[in-house]
Order: sequence, then structure tokens, then C-alpha cells
Amino acid sequence: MNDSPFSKGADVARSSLSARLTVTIFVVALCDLAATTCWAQSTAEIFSRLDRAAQSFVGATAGIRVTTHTGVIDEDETQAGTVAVKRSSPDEIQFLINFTGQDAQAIALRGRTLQIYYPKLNTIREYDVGKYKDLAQKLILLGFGMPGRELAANYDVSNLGAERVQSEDSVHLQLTPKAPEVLKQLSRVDLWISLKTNCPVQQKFYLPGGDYRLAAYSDIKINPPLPASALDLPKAAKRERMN
Amino acid sequence: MILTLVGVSYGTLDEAARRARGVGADIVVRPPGTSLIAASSSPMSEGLLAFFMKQPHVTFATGTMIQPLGGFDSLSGIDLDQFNKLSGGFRFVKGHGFQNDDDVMVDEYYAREKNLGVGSTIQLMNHTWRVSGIFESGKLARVCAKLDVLQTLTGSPRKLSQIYLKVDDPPHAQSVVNDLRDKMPGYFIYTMDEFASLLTISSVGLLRNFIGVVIGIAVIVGFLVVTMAMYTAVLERTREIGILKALGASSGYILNLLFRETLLIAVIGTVVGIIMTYGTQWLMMHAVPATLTQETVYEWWPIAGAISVVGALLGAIFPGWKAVKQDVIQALSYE
Repeated sequence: MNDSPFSKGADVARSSLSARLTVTIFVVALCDLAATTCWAQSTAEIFSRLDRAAQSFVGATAGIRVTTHTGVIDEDETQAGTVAVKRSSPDEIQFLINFTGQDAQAIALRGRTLQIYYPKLNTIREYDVGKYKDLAQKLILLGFGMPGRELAANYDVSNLGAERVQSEDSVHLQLTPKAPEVLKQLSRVDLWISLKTNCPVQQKFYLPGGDYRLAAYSDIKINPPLPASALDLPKAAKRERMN
Repeated sequence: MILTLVGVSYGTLDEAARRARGVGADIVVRPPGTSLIAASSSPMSEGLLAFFMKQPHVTFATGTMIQPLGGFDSLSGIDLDQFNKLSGGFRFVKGHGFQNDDDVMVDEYYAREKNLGVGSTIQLMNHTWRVSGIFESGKLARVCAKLDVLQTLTGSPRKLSQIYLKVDDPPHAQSVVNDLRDKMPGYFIYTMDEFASLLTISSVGLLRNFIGVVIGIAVIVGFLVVTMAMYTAVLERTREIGILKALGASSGYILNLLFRETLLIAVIGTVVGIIMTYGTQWLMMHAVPATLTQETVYEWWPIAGAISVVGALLGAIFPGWKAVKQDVIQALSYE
């Protein structure tokens, strides 16, 4: 019975099927490996590009639109204005965010002093952010002049691929803070880095409880001529030290 | 020093807890600790009030805005009608509620400290306010302004720092809190009892550390003062110690004498210190009644006494050793 032409044919068919299966598994595994390598390279590429961009970063200006979403009531509130960022030393970024309109106010960070200017009171309130200085620098303007290695050191980064946001081609990164104390206040950050400027076009800070804060940047200019006074708050305003 | 600082710490926290209870709410809601990202002390939307009103057992919701004024002072923005519904209303010693946008109401202690009367003007947050009323202390804050005015001036329209809720039956407060905590993770939601219990020394880490530092300094200062005093005493009594030794007094006898004197000084010092706390209490009550409140914390009397005795005895060790080691002949010839 085993020597019948039917059994021989079955053996041939079986071995041919087995060979095809082996080739298929090999090809799939190869593709999978190639895809994994491709993603890994892509993230690594983004980091090295951010590293290079951070080296030449001295400042930036942009329009800013911040949407604050309150989850339980599904409500959005929007503030709009401009932002100017300046690298004052290799480890220090200063910024000035100027909101206009009904809720006009300006927020500036200089060293370890966070200043909030209230135009209707013509007052600047100064807060010593002390040990939170680094957090303020790195969080409020996350991605501006920030090397990729710093992102990787502080966050678990997932690359969600290319997206077009604010009419700019960008790469979408999902960041999960590594520090438990940051994670308590900030469950996740989504960051869209422009492929053209290597600066964020959009940041989305996910807060506990379904709230989030979405900052969208437009008309970004990298390393524009920024005079020393570009980040100054009005000189005539009264200054109040709060802590 | 220890008793005064502990008294001020307890007094300030108890006063804050008393004012929080005076609001008349059952639940307080505070924003998540994300003010650094928002760069605001008032990040909650007024839209949350309608949401809270729809929750089971919640019968009333109102919010306030708190603007720090530096030091211990703050200015609270309130919707007076809403707040009166919640708290039963302010009891005015003089004047009345807000009439104009620039009106503020102050409590009697703040009025006394800043020498304010109805119609007086006061400069707060670089803005001139007129005092419309002086109310009995113990409700929410020492200085209150119109909520919408404060929101406009600070460029934070429709924003709140704290939300207070009233429930149909106080025993339901805990279940409402649990329900809200599930719906709004990250927000700080407490029953008023829980919130008041947070305003204690053991809950405020910074204050606990501060008291620890003060005790440490007090022990060191006490130690140095007693060391200096007893060392001087030993030097001044060199001849007497020499005579005692010549008469056969043992080292233990001389040490006993010195330590008993030290103990007496420590006990007298403690009693005088306790009496002096009443003096500082009176001084604060009359000079800065709104800024500092000092309480008499009886349970700290024995603690302060023990710290003083231990510090003093430690300080007496070196002079005692010096006295014991004195040579009799040299001591007798000491001029």
C-alpha cells in the first residue's frame, strides 16, 4: 500500500507544502525583522536629528494656541498668543508666552523665576520655582531645542509615525514620563515634531481624569534675530515676589 | 521659642481649618496638581459647577478664586449671593456686602491689623479696593472680592481655584466624594472633615520639618548657653570647689551640686518660657491678629520642658567635668 503511486504523490505534495511553508515563515520573519529595524531606525533617526537641531538651536518664535479640555464636562477653552524661546546657556532655556484677548496674560521663565504678568493689574508676580525649574523648562515648551537623548532619558518614547499637523509634515511621538512624580500629574504627552524645523508643531499633555492641554504652534521661526529685550515683560509693571 | 513657634503653627492651621469649616460646605474640590503646566492657581472651569449640581445627593455648588497676596494673606473671589446660600451669610460687624466692582469685605482681624474701616481704601494686587464691610472672622477668608471682578483682573475668566459642594444629608458626603473621585481621578476631592484634618502639623510636611529644625536649634542654643553659664559658674566658684574637695567632697557630690543647679535653671527657664508665650500671644493678637494666630498648646509644655532639661544637662557635662578635674591646691590658691 505504501508503495502505491497515490502514496508517492502524497509524499511529494507533503514535502512541497512543507517547503513552501518554511519559505513563507522565513519571508514573514524577514519582513517582520526588516519592519522592526525600520521603525527602530526611524526613532533613532528622529533622536539624532533632534540632537543635531538642538546643537544649533538658539531661539524660536511662534504663534501659540492652547486648548484646555475638561474631560468630565467635555469643555474646551482656548487661549491664543505668541511665544518666544531663547537659549541663554547650554543648559538653560528662557521663554515668554504672551496670551492676548479676554484672558490676556504673559508667562515668562527666567532662570528659576517664573513670572506671570497681568496686564489689567499692571503687575508681574514672581514665583521661585526652585527645584521645579528643570521641569518647567522641559515641560512647558517640551521639544524646543531639546536633544533626542534628553527625550529618551526622561520619557518612554513610542513612534506613532508620520502625520500632517498644522499643514506641516511631522512625526508623532508618544511620551510616557519615566519619573513617578511626573507621571502622577501627567499620564502622557503626545508630541508632533515638524520634519522641517525639528521643533514641535503640537503638544498634547494628558492630565489625570481625562483632562488635557493641547498647545498648537504656527508660523514657527527657528533662530530668528531675537534682541535681548524680546523676552522682557513691561518694565513699568509692579513686581510682587510670591514665595 | 519652641512653644511660641509651635503655638503659631498650630494657631495658623487651626484658624485656616476653622475658616474652611465656616464655609458651611460638605465637600471641597481642588484642581489636580498640574498648576506648573497651566501656570495658574485657578485652573478649574466654572462649567464644572453645573456638572456637580447633576450629581446624586449634591444640592448646591459654588466656586471661589484664591489669589495669593504674599506671606500668609490671600484674596478670595466669591459670588456673594451663591456663597451666602452655602454658608448662611456673613455676619457684618460694620458695613455690608459688595456694592461696586472694586469693593472688598474684610474680617475684623484684618481690619484691625490694617487699620481699616468701612469706606477705607486698600491697595491689593496693585489695585485700589474700597472696604464695603467688616465681617466676623471664621468664614472662608480674611479678604473677599467679587469673583467675576477678580477673574477679569487676573485674565482668568470663568476660572476657579476651589469648588464647594453641599449635599442633601451630611452622611452622604463620603459616598459622593468616592463617586466623584472615580469620575475625576487626579482632582483633590475631600469631605470638609477630611480637609480640615489635613490642616494639622503632621499633615503639613514643611511645617513638621520647620518645627524639627526649631527644636534642633533650641537644643543647640540651650546647650551652648548652659555650657557658657555653668562654665563661668565653675570658674567663679573655683575656690569654693577647692574647699569642698579639701573637706572631702567626692566627684559625685560636686557633680550632683552642679547638675541640680542646672536642673533648677532648666525648670525655671521652662516656667518663664511658658509664661512668656502668653506675652507673645497677647502681642500677636494686638499687633498682627490677621497674619499670625498663636494658640496655647498644652501638650507641648512637657515636651518643651524635657527638651530644655536635656539640653541643659548636656550643656553642664563639660563644666562638671572641669570642676571635678580641678586640682585642690590650685583651686584653693585661685584668686
